[in-house]
Amino acid sequence: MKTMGKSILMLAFGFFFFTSFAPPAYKVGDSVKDFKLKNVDGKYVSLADNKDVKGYIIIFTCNHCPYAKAYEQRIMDLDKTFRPKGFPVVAISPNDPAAVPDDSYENMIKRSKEKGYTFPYLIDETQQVARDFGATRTPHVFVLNKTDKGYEVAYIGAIDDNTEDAGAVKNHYVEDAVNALLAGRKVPVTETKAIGCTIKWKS
Amino acid sequence: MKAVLLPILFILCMKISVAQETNVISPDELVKTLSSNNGKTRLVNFWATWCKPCVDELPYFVKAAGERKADDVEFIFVSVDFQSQHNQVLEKEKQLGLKGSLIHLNATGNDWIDSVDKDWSGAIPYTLLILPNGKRISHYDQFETYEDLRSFINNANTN
Repeated sequence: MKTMGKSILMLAFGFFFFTSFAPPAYKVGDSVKDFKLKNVDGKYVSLADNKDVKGYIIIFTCNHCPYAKAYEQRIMDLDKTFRPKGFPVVAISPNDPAAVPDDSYENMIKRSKEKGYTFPYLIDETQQVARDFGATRTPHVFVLNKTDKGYEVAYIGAIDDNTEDAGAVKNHYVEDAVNALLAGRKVPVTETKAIGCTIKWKS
Repeated sequence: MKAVLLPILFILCMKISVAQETNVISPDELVKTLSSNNGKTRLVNFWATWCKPCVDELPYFVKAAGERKADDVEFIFVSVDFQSQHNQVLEKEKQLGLKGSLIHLNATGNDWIDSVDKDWSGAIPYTLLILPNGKRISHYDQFETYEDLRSFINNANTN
């Protein structure tokens, strides 16, 4: 009995270690845990708030990163195209504002007003959502498809294959993924990579 | 005397300008270069002028490069800046005093990231050490101090 207690304790300890030091990042096909993050309008946003959606385009992005800026118009266009079709954009800023003052909540409010964002721009103050998703850089996209099991990850990666020149893009990965989901087809490319700004984690 | 010195000066200037040359290459060429083995340990740093943590850690590389001349470590700096920023790249390289192989990657598409390292997400800074036997060791974050970088190079060398 004593040894059993011991092994349970060790198991619990091991579990603690596993969960605290190796947060499992979502993979394609995983269902995501809902979150509740503060929007630039002061209200909190969760995935469950909007009952009518077919899914979401979650984009980890931020104010300061030149690559995020290069994609800003394309992010706004994605929301314009796909919000009416049931796949709205939800932008999340994961950076530690102490490390990057440009990415403070106040500056997020300013930026979203200046540019007229039509989508929520949420601050991930504890950075837990970015960790749960396994986001590493900005911009980093996760397309979620609503199923009976919840919100399933259908695509992870880049918006398209040309950061510098939107006119020279050959593969529109996010568009292709969402269009496939809307048509009930298989997502053609489920994972891509891109150069981006590393997320500034709190130390 | 002058007649002898001038050509020497000229050759010296040529040498310096060659050493400072920044090559614009494609991802395919980069992947090929990194896979070919020249018997040296190579330290490859991916950076960009706009990436603050990159620019913060580059002086450590310059210091390490200065100290390790005899050690057969080749320093390769790969800028992933947009091609339209080429002049800013040259300016920053000069300002930082980067020496070694300077590359401005003409990086379109995404496939090359996997070819460099399948575990790398594309976030920069990113540093890759390639040992003479071809073994690759990656560092996915910023080096906080010069000592961090030095121990990364040293530890990897004993592997």
